[in-house]
Amino acid sequence: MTEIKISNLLLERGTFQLQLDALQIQQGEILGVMGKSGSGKTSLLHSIAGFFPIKEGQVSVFGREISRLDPEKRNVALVFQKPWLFEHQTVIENIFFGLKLQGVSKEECIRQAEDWLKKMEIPELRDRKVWELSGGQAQRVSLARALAVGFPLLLLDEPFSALDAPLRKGLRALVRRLVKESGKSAILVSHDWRDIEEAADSVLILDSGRKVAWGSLREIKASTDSRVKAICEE
Amino acid sequence: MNWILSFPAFLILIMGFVAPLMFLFALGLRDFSDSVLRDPFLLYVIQFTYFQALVSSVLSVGFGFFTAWMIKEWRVRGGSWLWKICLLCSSLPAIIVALGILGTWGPGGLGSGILSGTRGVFGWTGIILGHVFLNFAIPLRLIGNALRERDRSAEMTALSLGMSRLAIFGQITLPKIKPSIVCSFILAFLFSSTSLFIVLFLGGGPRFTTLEVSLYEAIKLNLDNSRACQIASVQAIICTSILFLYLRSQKGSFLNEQVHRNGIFRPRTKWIETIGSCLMWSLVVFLIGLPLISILVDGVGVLHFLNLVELSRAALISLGIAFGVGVLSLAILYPLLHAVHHENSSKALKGLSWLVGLPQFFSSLVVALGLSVFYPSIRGNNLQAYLAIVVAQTLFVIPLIQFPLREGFQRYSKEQDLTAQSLGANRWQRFLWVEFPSMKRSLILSALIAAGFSLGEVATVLLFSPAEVQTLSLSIFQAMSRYRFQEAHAMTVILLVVMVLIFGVVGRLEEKDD
Repeated sequence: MTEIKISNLLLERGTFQLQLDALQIQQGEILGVMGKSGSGKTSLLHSIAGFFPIKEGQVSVFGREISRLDPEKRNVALVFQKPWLFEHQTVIENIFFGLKLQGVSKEECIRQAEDWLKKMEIPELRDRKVWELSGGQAQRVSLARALAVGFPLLLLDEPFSALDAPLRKGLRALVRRLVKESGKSAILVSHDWRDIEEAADSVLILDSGRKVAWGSLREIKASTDSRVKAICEE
Repeated sequence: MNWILSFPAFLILIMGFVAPLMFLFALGLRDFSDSVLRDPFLLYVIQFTYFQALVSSVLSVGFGFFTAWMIKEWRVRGGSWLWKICLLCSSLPAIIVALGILGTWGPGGLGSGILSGTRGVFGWTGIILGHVFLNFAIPLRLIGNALRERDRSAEMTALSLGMSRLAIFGQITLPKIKPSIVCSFILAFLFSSTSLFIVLFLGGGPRFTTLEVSLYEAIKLNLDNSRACQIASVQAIICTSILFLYLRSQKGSFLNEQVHRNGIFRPRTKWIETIGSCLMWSLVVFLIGLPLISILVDGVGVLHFLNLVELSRAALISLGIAFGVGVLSLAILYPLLHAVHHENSSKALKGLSWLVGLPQFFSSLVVALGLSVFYPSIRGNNLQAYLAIVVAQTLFVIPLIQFPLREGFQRYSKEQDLTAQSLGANRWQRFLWVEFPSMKRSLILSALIAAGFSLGEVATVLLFSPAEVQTLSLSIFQAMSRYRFQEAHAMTVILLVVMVLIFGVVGRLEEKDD
C-alpha cells in the first residue's frame, strides 16, 4: 500500500526550481535522498513539511492531501542537522512536547517519553537540562521527540552530519530499527552514501532540482548512469 | 499579522516623538534668525556647550580606553570586578553622581582640600568629573569588547617577525579597534552636550551655562515656551547631525571572529603588573568610589531625618511609574522584535525597529518639551501627566532594552520555531510554550533596565508632574535645589541601594547570558 505519494511537484525559490513528477513511499520504508549542494534535497523536505509553499502538485499522506495545509496541521515531523532542543525544558519535557500539544494527559506523556528514552538508549538523561548534553545525546533526544509525536512521516534533514563516525554508525542503525518498529515512513536527506546505504530502503538522486534516479538501494547501486555514480561515490 | 504587531511601536514613534518634535521645530524656527543668531549670550552658550562636551568626551574616552586596556589587555588583578563596578556605577542617575561629587570635592567634603582654588569643585572641574564618571563606561564597554573580540593572530605574527610592541599597537591593534573608539567618542560627546544635572549643580554661574541648562531655565524658571522651543530646535539640529556622524562611524565596526586570545601586551614582570593593578584600582576608587562613599557616609547618619510617610509615598509613585514604563516599553518593543524575528526579510520592519532607537540621540528635556507643546492639556490633568511621564520615559527606555531583547531573539532560533511547528504547535502554542519561556530571562533583564532607568529619571517628572506628585529622584532634586543636602543625601542612600540592587541583578543576568 502506498502511504506517501508526491505527484507533479513544482517548487520555485527565486531562480531555483524543483520538479518531481512522481514519488511514492510505502509504510515502514525509508527513502534516502542524495544530491550535490543546491540540488534541492532540503527544499524537498521543507516543501513537504510546509515551510516552502509549493507552486503546483500534490503531497498526500495516507490518502490525506496535505500540500495546502499549514505546517502544524500536516502531521509530518522534521529533524534538522542540529538538534534544536528547547533550552528551557528538560530532556523528558522536550520528548513529550508534541504529545502535550495533542492533549495527551501528563502521566501518559511521561510514560511514553520514558519509553522513547529507553528505546533511544538514553534513560539516564531523563531530567537533564539540554545544555548539559553532548552532540550525540542531543541528536538522540531530537530524534526521540520527532518519533514520540506519533506522526506517520518523519523528515530527517542530515541528522547525522554533525556527529563523528562511530556515533554516526550507531545512530543510523538505531534510527532504522525504530522507524521500522514504529511502522512510520521516513525521508532521510544526506550527502554521505554510507548513511543512505545503512539506513535507507530506496534512494532518490537529485541534481539541479530534477530527479536523476529513483529506485531500490540495489537498483541504485547497480546503476550505470555516470551522474548517479558520481553522486554516490563522492 | 506582523504588521499589526509592529503598529504600537509605529504609533508611539509617530505620536510620541516624530510629530511633537516636528511641531517643536515649527515653533522654534519661527523667529530663529532674529532671536537665536543675534543673541550673543545664546551663541556663547552654544560655544561653551560643545566645547565642554568635546573636553569631557576626550577625557571620558581617554579614561575609558585606559581602563578597558588595563582590564582586557593587561588583565589587572580583580579585573572582572573592576569591570562590573565601573559599569554599575555609570548606570547611576546623573543627580546621584552630582550629589556624590559635591559631597566629596565640594565644601566640607572628603577631598575638598585638594580642590581649594577659587571655585573649588564648581565650574570646569565639577563638569568634567561628572561627565567622565557618567560617560567613561561607554568607551569602556565598546572598546573593551572590541579589544576582547579582536583576532590577535596578526599581532603575534608581527611580533615573531621582530616588530616592536609599540609599532604593533599603532599599525595593527589601533586600526582594528578604531571604529569602537570613534563610536564611543561620538556617544560620549552627545551625552555630555545634553547633560543637565551635572552642569546645573556643578557648573556654578552663567559662565557655565549649557544649552540644556538654558532650556531648563526657559521652561521652569522663566516659563518662556517660545524661547525654550528655539533652544530645543538648536539642540535638536545639532543632535541630528551627531546622529548622522554616529551612523557613519558604525560602518565597518563589526569585528572578525576571534582566533587567538593570547595577548602580546600583557606585563612581562610581576612587579609591573602589581604597579599597574594598584594604579588602576586607585584611579577608580578616587574618581568613582569616593563620591559613592561620600553619599553613604553622609546619608546613613541622617536617615532618621526623613519623613517616612512622604518617603513611602514618593517611593510608591516612583515604583508605579517604573512599573508602567517597564510594561509599556515591553508591550511596544516585544511585538515589533517578534515580527522582525519571524519576518527577517522585511526591510520596512527592520527599519522601524531601528527608528524606535532614535529618541536616545535627543535630550529628555527636548522630547518632554515636544510632548508638552504638542499636547498642551497634559499638565492640567493628573492622569495625563502620569501618562506623559510614562510615555516620555518609555521613549528613552526602548533603545536601552533593545539589546537584551534582540540577544534573546538571537538565542531563540528560527529552526526551533519550525521544529515546534512541525510537531504540531500553532502560532499561540509556539509563542506560549517555546518562544516566551526562551525569552523569559531577556524579558526580566529588559524590565529591570527599564525600571532602573525610570527610577533615576528626573527631567520628564520635573516637566510634567503636578505639584503634589513626588518621586524619589524629584525629591532629591528639590532637596538639592533648596540646599537641604542632608535630606538629599539620606534619600539618595535609599535610591542608591535600590539601583545597585537592580543593576546588580542586571549584571548577574547579563553574565549568565554571556
